[in-house]
Amino acid sequence: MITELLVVLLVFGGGCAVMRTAGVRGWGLPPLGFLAGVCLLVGVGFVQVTTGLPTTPYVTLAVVFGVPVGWWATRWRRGGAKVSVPLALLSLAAVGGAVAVLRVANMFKWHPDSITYLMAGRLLAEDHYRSTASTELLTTRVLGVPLLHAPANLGGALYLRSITPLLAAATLAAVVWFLWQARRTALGGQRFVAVAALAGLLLLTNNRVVFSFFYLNGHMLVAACVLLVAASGWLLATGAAGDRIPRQALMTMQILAIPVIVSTRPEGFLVAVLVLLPTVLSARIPRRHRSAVLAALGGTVLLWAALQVWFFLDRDTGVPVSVAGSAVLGVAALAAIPLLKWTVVERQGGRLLAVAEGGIWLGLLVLAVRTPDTLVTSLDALYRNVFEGTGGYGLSIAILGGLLLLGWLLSPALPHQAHLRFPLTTFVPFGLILAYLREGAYRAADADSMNRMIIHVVPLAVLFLFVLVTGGVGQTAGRLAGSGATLATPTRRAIYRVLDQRSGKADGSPDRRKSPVGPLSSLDSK
Amino acid sequence: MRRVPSLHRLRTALTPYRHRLFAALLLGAIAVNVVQFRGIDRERYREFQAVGRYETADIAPVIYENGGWHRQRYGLYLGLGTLAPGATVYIPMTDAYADDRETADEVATRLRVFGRASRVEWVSAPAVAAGPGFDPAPYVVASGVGGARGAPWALAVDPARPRPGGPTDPDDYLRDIVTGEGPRRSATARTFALIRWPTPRPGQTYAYQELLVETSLLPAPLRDELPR
Repeated sequence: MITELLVVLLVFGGGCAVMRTAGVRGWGLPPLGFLAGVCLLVGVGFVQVTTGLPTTPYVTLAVVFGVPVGWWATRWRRGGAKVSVPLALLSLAAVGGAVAVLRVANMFKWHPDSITYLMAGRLLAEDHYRSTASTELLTTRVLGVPLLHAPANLGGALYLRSITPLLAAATLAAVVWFLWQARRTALGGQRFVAVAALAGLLLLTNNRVVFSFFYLNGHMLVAACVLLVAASGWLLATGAAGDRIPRQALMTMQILAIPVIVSTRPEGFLVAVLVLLPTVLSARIPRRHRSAVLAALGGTVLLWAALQVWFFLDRDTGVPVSVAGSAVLGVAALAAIPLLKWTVVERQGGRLLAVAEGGIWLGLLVLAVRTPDTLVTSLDALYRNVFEGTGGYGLSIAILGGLLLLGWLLSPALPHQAHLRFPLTTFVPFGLILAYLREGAYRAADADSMNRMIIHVVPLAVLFLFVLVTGGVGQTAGRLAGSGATLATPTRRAIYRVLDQRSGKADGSPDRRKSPVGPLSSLDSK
Repeated sequence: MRRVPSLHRLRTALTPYRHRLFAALLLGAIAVNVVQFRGIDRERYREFQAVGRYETADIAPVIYENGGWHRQRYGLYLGLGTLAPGATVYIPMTDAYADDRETADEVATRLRVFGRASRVEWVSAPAVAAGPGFDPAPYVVASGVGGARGAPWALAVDPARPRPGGPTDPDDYLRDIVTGEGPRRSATARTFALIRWPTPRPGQTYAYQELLVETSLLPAPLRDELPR
């Protein structure tokens, strides 16, 4: 109990220190801080494993807590990043209480993969991973979940009882926080509470979401990081950041979440590319940040590929093509950084996204022509899992999809929606392509991997749905620079200010000239 | 996207009711979730139900009790970790494990993680590797059947060493005491050898059993092959 309490509080404290220093305040700080802390835990552990450092969680926790708190203390001494002591104590007490309750709840959910993840976690905690883990364990049960639970071994346990439920709760709170940032001006307090309650209930009544609170696996972790990257990118692009939300906080969340996506699923490096692409191609986001996220992606993927190559060579085994492929992707991400200077990338961001999405569908088509059986079997399994209830979702995913489609058709155009939409609409073709890259077609079962992966996009889908359907509430019917986008006034002002800064105009008054980098709606089109 | 006129008209017509429409649809979606929730759980195995708790938070007894798969895979190692944590385990060379690095790593992982072995060492000991050369059956305190996930297994410990009481049937012995979260070390140093015991378990297709035997039980000539 004491070990777990200390571990969770260190992770929570370190994450909150990062997010507070980056500018987050108010009720969003505890959940976002917890998510940031978990990302730090996995990210720091990932660096330890891949660089040959000792993998003991003592080092991980010292860095996860010490560095952010040191950073925060420096800011605090200069008079910034102040923290309300009563609220901080209350948050610590709430997290401590949750740990105490969850320690005795015995509500873990598992299947065979869970066991192997926990085995890898114990090897990491006792610094035997690099000498003992098999190539099978390395490539199929990648590092994210083992690193998440490794600190439990400091107290003799195999897993942290409370970290997955707390992670899931923080993810749901993050959905509400992003919605709050996007819609609080338009909705006002009371209506927002009703909307937040609906969003929370939609998630909390979903059987598989509740299951994910206790499931010893990495799906909720990936879902949290997909949400952080996509929603932060969207807020950065809308210009809401800076007005109310510190840009630095959104950028920090993206940079922290990318390595976790890469290191939590075997296909994580590809998922990270898909989730990050709208951010990388958005002219609305500072190039320096886009370079930073590409560097984080490329660096993480290369480190991961290097570890795998070392493992295979150490075990006198041939390096698989997938490892070489991920290394190439890592190099490509780093090599793409200078290309961000090209104006064509900024101007044609929307088209490049469309090309990427079309490419995924085309790739699936080519694979389907070569081996149609895999696609047919996988589609049948997907249908049975989602529409016939075999996957454990009941009808919730079918209904969520239908509501999203309806919301998208009947709601006002949502500016920069590609950040939220692209990871969702590429999920199905990408998942079906993965069926060709693994041992075979998907199956109709709750434990099927594509069925479990659906949870990766559920929090983001709910956020997108609620952002869509609350669009138009209290908004000024402003139309911007021929984009067709209706924007809330503060957002519109922010966009005009960016335009003015680019063209040297100082007063910030709205005008209708064209953007110097092309239509602002390049990522907006539905 | 250029809006289709009819869609635009529909959207305009629905504008005054849009929020109420979606509120109603969302409430409907939530209601469907609530209605289906318990039915979904009823159709699932316990480990895949959304709600429901175990008697313990230690995953080892749960997987040990859950069908045969995990007992086949991990039973032998969990037994070692429960009865003799911190042991040194020798794996005699010319043994099947030494031929395949993937298998060797997997065995070492299980020995370290569930067997709580402090040291795992492959040693040149052909006579031991060929089989125990004596009958370990009287010393087998825990055993399990084989199947698709692993061979039958047996754990033979020195009766001079203290161990928790339990059923005399070796197949049931670990049931109430197995743990994956016990101490990392025993008070005294213990050594075991992991051997493919060339004696089939009755009723099983495997021609051997995976045997972890405490080296103090081995006849002196065999014991001499192992490091001191």
